This record gives sequence, C-alpha cells and structure tokens, in this order.
Amino acid sequence: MNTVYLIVIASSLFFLIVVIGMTAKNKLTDQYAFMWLTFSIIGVVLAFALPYLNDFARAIGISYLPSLIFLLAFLVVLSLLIYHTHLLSKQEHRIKTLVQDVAFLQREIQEVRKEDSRS
Amino acid sequence: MTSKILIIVPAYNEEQAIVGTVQQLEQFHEYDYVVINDGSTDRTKEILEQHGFSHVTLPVNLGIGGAVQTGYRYAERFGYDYAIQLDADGQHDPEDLHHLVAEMKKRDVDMLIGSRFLEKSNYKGSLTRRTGILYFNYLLRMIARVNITDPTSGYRIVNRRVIEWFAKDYPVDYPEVEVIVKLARKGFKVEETKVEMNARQGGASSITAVKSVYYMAKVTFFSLIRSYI
Repeated sequence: MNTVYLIVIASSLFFLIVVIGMTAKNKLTDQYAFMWLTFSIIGVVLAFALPYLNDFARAIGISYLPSLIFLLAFLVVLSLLIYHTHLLSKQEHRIKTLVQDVAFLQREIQEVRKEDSRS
Repeated sequence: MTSKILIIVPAYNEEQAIVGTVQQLEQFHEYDYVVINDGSTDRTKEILEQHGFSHVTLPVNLGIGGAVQTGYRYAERFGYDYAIQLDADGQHDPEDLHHLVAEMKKRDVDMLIGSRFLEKSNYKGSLTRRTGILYFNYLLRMIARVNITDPTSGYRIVNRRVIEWFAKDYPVDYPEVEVIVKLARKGFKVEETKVEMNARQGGASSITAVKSVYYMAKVTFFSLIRSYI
C-alpha cells in the first residue's frame, strides 16, 4: 500500500463526510443530496478498488490508469454541468413568471388602494 | 363593435424620454397603453407614479424579452384584441398608430411590422445596424420565406392569436427577428407596412458592435435549430 493510494482513500472519505454533513444540515435539497451521496460512495468504492482498477485498465489496453480515471471524471463532470445548466434554465423561467406575477399583483394592489382612498 | 387595443411600452432607464412618449400616447383615447418598467435603476418608476401613467413595474430587470412578454401577458389577461409594441425612447412615431391598426384590420394578418425601409424614409442607421438588417432580411427569406425589409423593428402590431402565443412563449433576448421566424414557420401571416422613425430622444441604443455579432449569431443558430429540429 503506497502513499498515493492512502491519499486517494482519505480524500474520497473526506468528500463523503462533507456531503453527509451538508445533507444533515439541510444545505442540499433532497434530490441533489442523494445524487452527491451516490457519487461520493462510488468515489470511496473506486478508491478502495484502485489496485484492481489498474489490472482492469491494463486488460482493456490502457497502460496509464490515471488517463482512464480522468476520462471518466471528465465525462461525469460534463454531464453534471449540462444537468445544472438545464436546472438553471428551468429556474430562470420560473423566476421570470414569478417576477411578472408579482408586478401584476403590485399594480392591482395600487389600483385597489386608489379606489379605497376615493370611497 | 370596436376592438380593444393595447400599446405595450417597454422601458428600461428611460427617465428622459418616457414622459414625452406617454403624453403623446394619451392623445389617443381609443387605445389603452401600459408602460412595462423593466426594473429601471433611474427615476423611471417615480416619474411613472408621479404622472399617474398606466404602468407595471417589474421588481427586477428581466431584459427586453421578459419585459415585452409581460405586456403580452397583460394583454391576454385583460382581453385585448390587438397589441402594439412601441419603444419608450421616442423612436417610434405615435402618428403611425392609426395607420398600423387600420392596415392590420384591412389585411387580416397575424403580425404587422412597422418598417423604415419600405419607402424612402428619414432613417439613417449606423453601418453595423444596416448590415445586420440586410443579413436578417436574407435569413428570413431563406428560413421563413418572408420578405421583411425591417426585421429588427420593434414597432409592431399583433392579433389575439399571437398575443396568446407570446404570453406563453417569448424569447429572452433579441426577440424581434426570432419571433418572425417562429410565427412564419408556424403558419402565422407576417407582413409589414411603412412607418416613420425618429432619432432617439434620450438614452443609448442597447446594441453595440460586439452585441450585434452575438445578436446575428444567436438568431441564426436558434432559427436554424428550432425551425428544423
């Protein structure tokens, strides 16, 4: 067991603890909390499985394991980004509708107040 | 039966021009108007309240698309038959309102755009602006099969069908050209008629050179993707 191996396991565990902590304190909404919990557990499992991964990489013809990990990590991060942009767009659309509704309500309140002061 | 007509005036930081524009509109008793104050950071809101002008103030800035759509949602809510967009900065001449409405009713189209270029007018825009307009004219002829000489003109009138459509779906930024593509491809009839345009009374154009490149690229991509896929 070498140092790098230990560092990888330690950081994956640290990440898992951070996610659990944030979930416990309600800093993540349920669906995202679950997503990150899944990711961090996969991370821990992969960290422990590192030696076997090396064999696996060699078996499929990748001589340098980190490049496989980087590729996978990159794909995961990319899909997360797209997912988040999608969520952001959805939120923006909802906020736009709410802002418009608030503006309509404010106008109606003003009109009602005007009528009240007249009568 | 007379038809209910609403003039939508989107305004973002228009404290210099807004009073003049709205006072002109108030001469037209047969039309209603509503100023959409798009979260202005200057005194636009106070001015609108002081003068008792009909307005809706968005608590935050939504950008031109969100502001104009607010107007269409307003028109939808209160049962207007036609809605006219008119810029707050004084570029659009209210004298053309009657002409727009009359032509709209006569031609029975879904959207009628006020064009500066159908006949010789006094308009002189910058070179970038004119290049952009030519490009959009070409794009619209290719993709939407309509010949619109002034596609970026914000001076336009639409009927109830389009009001309802815009109330649900309106582009967020640089909407002028994109909605022509969408409408034309959905089978709505889009035509144009001649109007006069003045030099702006105050404020600055929101379109700079860099933005106009973005504008052209955005409209091209969206028109292509959303029309063919």
